[in-house]
Amino acid sequence: MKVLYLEDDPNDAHLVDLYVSASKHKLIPVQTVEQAWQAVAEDPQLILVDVILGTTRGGVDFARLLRGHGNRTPLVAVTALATDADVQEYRSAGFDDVLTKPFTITQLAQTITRHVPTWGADG
Amino acid sequence: MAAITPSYEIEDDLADERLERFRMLLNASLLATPFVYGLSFLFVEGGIGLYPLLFALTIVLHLFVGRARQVCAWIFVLAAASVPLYSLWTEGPGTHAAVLILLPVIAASLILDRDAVLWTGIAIVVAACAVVIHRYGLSTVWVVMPQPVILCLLLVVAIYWMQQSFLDVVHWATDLQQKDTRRAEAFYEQKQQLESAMLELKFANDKLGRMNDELDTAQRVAENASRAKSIFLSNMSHELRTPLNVIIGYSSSMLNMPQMFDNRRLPPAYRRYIQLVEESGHYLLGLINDVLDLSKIEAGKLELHPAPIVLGDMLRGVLTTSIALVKEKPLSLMPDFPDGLPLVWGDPMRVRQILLNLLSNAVKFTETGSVTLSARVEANFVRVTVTDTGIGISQDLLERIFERFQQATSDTERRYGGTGLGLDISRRLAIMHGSDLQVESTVNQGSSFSFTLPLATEAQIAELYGPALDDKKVTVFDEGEELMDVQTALVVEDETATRKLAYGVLEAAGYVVIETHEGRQALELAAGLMPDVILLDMSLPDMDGWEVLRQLKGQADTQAIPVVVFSAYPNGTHAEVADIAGYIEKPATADAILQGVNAALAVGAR
Repeated sequence: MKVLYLEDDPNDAHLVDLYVSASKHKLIPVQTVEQAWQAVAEDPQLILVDVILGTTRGGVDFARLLRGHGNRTPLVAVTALATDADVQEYRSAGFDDVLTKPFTITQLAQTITRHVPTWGADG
Repeated sequence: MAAITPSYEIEDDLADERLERFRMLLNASLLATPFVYGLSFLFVEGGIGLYPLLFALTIVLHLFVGRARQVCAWIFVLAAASVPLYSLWTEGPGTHAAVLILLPVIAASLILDRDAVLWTGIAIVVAACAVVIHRYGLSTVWVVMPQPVILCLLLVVAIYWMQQSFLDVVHWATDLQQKDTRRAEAFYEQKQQLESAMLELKFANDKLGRMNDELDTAQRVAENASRAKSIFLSNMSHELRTPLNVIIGYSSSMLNMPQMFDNRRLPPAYRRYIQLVEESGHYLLGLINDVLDLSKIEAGKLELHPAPIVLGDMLRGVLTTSIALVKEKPLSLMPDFPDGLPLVWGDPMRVRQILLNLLSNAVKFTETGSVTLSARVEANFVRVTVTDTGIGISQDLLERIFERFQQATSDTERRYGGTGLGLDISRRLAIMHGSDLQVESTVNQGSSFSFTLPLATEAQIAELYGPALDDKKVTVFDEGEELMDVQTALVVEDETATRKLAYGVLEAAGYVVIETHEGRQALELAAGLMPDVILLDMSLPDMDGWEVLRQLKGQADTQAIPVVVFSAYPNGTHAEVADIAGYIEKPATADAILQGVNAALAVGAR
């Protein structure tokens, strides 16, 4: 099973990679919206997106792009910017869920399990 | 506009006019006297004696008329009167004496007022009659005097009347003028008042305009400041949370997820410090959240999203979460609320926040004994109370605990840590729910904090779920995302390392994990919280694991909970073996624990 993770911070990407790899699944880490858009072709079962890329909300653009093309893959915003107004914006852009940084490894696990139900059984 | 003379004295004007006339009269007399003297010398024999005297008198009067007009006027009138009297005395009554008798009256009318004319007329008539009587006898008077006397008196009356009329006319005109003046004055005054009022109005208007501008500016400044503050808080939150993700994420995975590191467990020497890193990270995160909450509450931007709350479920949920706070303390966390509490009306997230704040405070300040979470229905609300057996707060310090960044004493601050934002937030949230935070406390015996929540009304329930629904069938997920579709596992294990391993594995797999190291507490928790599965160690400090199992299976409500036995001893020596849902042999790996629990639940679900 494949999880796509759009994240420009290598530390955060590594942390999630450690967890997903430990669960015998595959993480596809990408740093830019362009790379992410190409990686969607690999048909991931879950897409995690850091909203703030550099100084722009590139993650929101990516979500709109994805949903605009009719792709319904579960989409989770992974961000430290999660005020009520922000969450509202993410949801309207097409995100299914928001994982607020900082997250514990448990919260990450729960979020992934919630959107990929077979995860626990396989892992 | 020129100033207007306020009053007008006609008598002064008349006096001035008389003075002018008197001067003209004196001038005329000066010119006339030599002429008259010449004529008298030619035609009147022996009749010139008085004229030089009158001439001299006229010159003298001319000199003094400016200084004593009234006296000069009387002297002149007297002199004029002397002429007919002298004529009567020397020549006797005749035509020209009858004409001359009018002279003083005319003079008086010209240079004195009308009363003087009256008196002069009477005096000259009496004096003339007296001269005639004295010189020619009483009987002559009746013959010669009626004509001049009547003529003189007629003249006096005519002058008197004319002057009165003249005065009346002048008075009338003056009155009119005064009225006009007064009217003009009043008008002028009104105009001035109007002008000054208009000036004041203009000034006030300008001032108002300026104040309006200032107000606009102040409002813009305030709005900008508020926006800047929001942006700052949002940015600060983002910037602080980003590095915290690395701190909390790595420390929690190093502690709880050895499988992420090729199943290499953290060496015990590092464990304590990584735990400190994780705890400090969570502390910082809590602080950021508290500061954001407070600034939201203060800006009036914290909106409640009220909904009916199944209070019993929520209380069990927060107790479950709070068990992690107790750590190694010999402290029991006790539920004390009846089944079937009615639905209350509140913001589930915020009510949960209040409860967690109060519970974490109670646990923090209590070393031994218990922390009790109770709820009671009172009239049309439910009172929720957190009671502890901790250090307590003295009466004089009770108010201080609500101040921000304040604890009761600086000593407690050093010993217990914490920011002191929690109680302030809790109180404000309680107030937003129409209640307040009430505190009762006795030093060294404990404290109790309580607040109330209103019962949800039929209308409120109907608004959310539609009128057809029976409220007993309503299911409200009030625990937030974390507990939705999540199962609860009770881990009963006295050995810390094993308990932590089980905790980490199960929590990572999405379970909400409750831990305890005692059999007795395990029984209480099982009955109070109704976990979905129990992982039970057989060697417990206070009672035998098999006895715990026997009691669990003996109770009607806990009978159905699958129990996974967790033991170093081989299976099969007890009668209760038939009741167990699974067995995990020690030492167990993370996978073994997870599989054992999952399997037991899968069996239970069937």
